Amino acid sequence: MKPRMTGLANMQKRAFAANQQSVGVIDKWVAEIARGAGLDDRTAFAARLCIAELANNVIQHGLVTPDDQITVTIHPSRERLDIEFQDTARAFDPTSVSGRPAHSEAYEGGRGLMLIKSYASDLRYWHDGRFNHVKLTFQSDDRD
Amino acid sequence: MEIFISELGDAAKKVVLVGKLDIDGAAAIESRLANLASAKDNIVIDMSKVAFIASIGLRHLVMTAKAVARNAGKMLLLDPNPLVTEVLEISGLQGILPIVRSEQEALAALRK
Repeated sequence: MKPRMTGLANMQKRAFAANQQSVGVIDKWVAEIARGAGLDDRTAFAARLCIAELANNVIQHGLVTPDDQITVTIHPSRERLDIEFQDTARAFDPTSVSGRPAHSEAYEGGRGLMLIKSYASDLRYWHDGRFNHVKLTFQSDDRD
Repeated sequence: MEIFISELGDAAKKVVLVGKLDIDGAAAIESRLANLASAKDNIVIDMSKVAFIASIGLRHLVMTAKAVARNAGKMLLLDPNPLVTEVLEISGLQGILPIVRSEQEALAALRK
């Protein structure tokens, strides 16, 4: 079942080509919305990092073609972002990956999904038969 | 991402990274880091002006550190900000990418 989104009045949605050039554009957009929602620096950083990791994963491992797209929907509310990341890459469930480092320190790759699981307050995945959907929540806390 | 290279006394090459170490940033520094790592020098990477790091940036740092170690050198990260430090810690990379907080601390670590 799809998780319910909140803050529909402020919802922002954009589609991007699934290529390297889009990653920086997506990052600037997420950072701007995070600032507007009043997220603390760490939570804003967490949101940017997780979306960058999802985008990188699609571009590097998703077997995408020039026609593939990434669609990001952001629901900002007070000190919180709910983000849905949708892509047309091959089906892949990031929640199925361990949240701990699975390799020795000398291993050169494979840390992106572990970072997503560490930084997102909530992480859900579903596939609708055509698209991957990842829903992430970032909530400012009082750790600072 | 910008990269500036200088000498840290006669102990190491000092590499200052400025900007975001994301997929674009990693691509921008890849060849220069690889060249440095093959030169049999110690390397101190000043991370204080790196505002953002993603796993692909970690990957390039680990690759460089491994190449330096193969030449019996050491690589240190100088003063990453708290957000970048947390990424390094969560990733469990404190051993292969040790952090120092000053050039003096870097020089002392390189003398060990």
